[in-house]
Amino acid sequence: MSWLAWRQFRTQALLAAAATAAIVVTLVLTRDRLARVAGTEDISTALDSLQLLGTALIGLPAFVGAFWGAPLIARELETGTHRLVWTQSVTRGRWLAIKLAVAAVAAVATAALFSATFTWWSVPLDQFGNRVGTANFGQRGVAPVAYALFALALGTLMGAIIRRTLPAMAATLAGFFVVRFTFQWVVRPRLRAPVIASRPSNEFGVQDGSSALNGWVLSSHPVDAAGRAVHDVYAGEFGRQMARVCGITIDSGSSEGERIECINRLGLTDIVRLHPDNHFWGLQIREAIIFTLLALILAGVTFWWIKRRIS
Amino acid sequence: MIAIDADHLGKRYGQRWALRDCTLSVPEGHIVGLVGANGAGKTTLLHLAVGLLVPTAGTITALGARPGAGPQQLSRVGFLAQDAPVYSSLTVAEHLRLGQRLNPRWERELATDRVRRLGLDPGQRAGRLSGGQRSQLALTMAMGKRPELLALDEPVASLDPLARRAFLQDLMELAADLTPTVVLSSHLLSDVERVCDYLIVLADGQVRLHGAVDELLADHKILTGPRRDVQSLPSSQEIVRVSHTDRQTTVVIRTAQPVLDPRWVVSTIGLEELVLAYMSSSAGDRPTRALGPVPA
Repeated sequence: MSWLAWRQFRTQALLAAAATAAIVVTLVLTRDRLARVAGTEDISTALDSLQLLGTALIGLPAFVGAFWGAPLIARELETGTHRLVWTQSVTRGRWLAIKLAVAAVAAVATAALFSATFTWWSVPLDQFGNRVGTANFGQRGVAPVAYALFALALGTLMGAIIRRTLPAMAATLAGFFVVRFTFQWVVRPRLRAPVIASRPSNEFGVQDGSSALNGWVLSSHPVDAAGRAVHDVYAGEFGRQMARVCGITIDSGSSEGERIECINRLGLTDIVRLHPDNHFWGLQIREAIIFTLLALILAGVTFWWIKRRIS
Repeated sequence: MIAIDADHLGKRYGQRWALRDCTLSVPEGHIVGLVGANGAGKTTLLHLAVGLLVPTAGTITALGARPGAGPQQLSRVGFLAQDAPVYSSLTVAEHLRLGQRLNPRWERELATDRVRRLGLDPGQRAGRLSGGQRSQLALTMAMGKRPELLALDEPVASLDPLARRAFLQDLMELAADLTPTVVLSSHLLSDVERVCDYLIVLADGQVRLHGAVDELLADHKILTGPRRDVQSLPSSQEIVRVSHTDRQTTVVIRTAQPVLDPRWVVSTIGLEELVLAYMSSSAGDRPTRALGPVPA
């Protein structure tokens, strides 16, 4: 059975291997130059555009789900070959297990190699940037490998249920991105307790702190020295303090420097909930475990489905 | 031993019963013809027998075990699905390799010989074969696993008359040499007549008739006589089908006893007439009410 599974999969596997090899070689060859120029003004457009490979790494699991997962069963159902292969001397459970295993090994290998190389390549950039934030998190570490497994299992199940390749591919893409991004916004912030930090605020209350604090800022709100929330620096108790201590009101025509000095003097601070850089691997591993478990659940449903629901 | 044993077997798709209350038992060692109109449930019955489908109601066993129960059971049952599915990107030789890899009892010689005899190029991709060649390849795969029960769903539908004759010849030789029981569905009654010695007639998802062909032919008679009410026939004569013209009444009956009424002209029945009589009579609504509208 493994012969057949490999025979059916080999073209896709070789194409994926070639593409991955090209990406890895490119990254290895450009890493030195990136390390020299990272953080300076000299970072070239060419190196800059290589960062787009990170977007490809986000797309990779979706590709695996749609092009490897969805046709895995659907193509057989479409062409009727499931009736040929299910009446050989191999149970359909074993048939699916081996087909899934071959695709899963290829998906893990591709995603792991790509992600590991890109993570290593990005180290010089991450010293100045932010790898915990939503944009970069899915382009680093072990999470992409788990996404790929999840997408593969999702695609396979969609193919078994929908029974036609193209609609199953579409459903897989839609389903994968919905789950992936819902998870990112709803679940990931709660995967571990965020750190609560305070820092001097400016008059607008919230400032872009993601790079200042080098972490993923979940929320930020300003409070005065007594710890009361401040929604508008010119109004309420804080506005009265500004007027009394510094003589600044909304109509007084002060300069920005004067305002910031006054706000700092009155002790306006932002209370920030964030995942700092050192939460990166903890979040990665938790997210990877959850997506792998989801993949296993979907695979289990697929086994049940092809045993009971398909002829 | 019993090749196929069904007990109140039923299969439902949504609201529609494709097969209902089907009870039959086919002894081993026959070439069984499964006949019926399109949609009568032939494919469903075969899929249930080879384990591709799970029954909604009742039970079915093939060679004494639940169909598709495990690798052992799968290896004893061969199946050629309708439209002869093959992997279009795999070559003929790769199909034989697939057969060998996936079946412990694979008959390598038989399969290679058959492919050579049919003139199939081993290096040819299956997707490039003609319809007839494709069925021959798929049939070779079903035969090559050397099953004890071989089920064929419309195996000759895509073959030209010459290939069909050769195919049936092949099948009979195979049945004699290797495979004790063959079940084939077909709506070509002449083919069934030529090769089958056991018959199952399905109509509207129900078994109308099954048994050894020679016994069935001996047990049925055609009575022809002046137009009359058939209510008066003795109870030992089971009426299968009645048809009237203006002056004549024709009745197909099933009986083990001789017909004594001198007003009837008694003639023997052919397989085709027998099958048609059962296909057109609807179950539970035997046309014993004479002179009423008769189903066509």
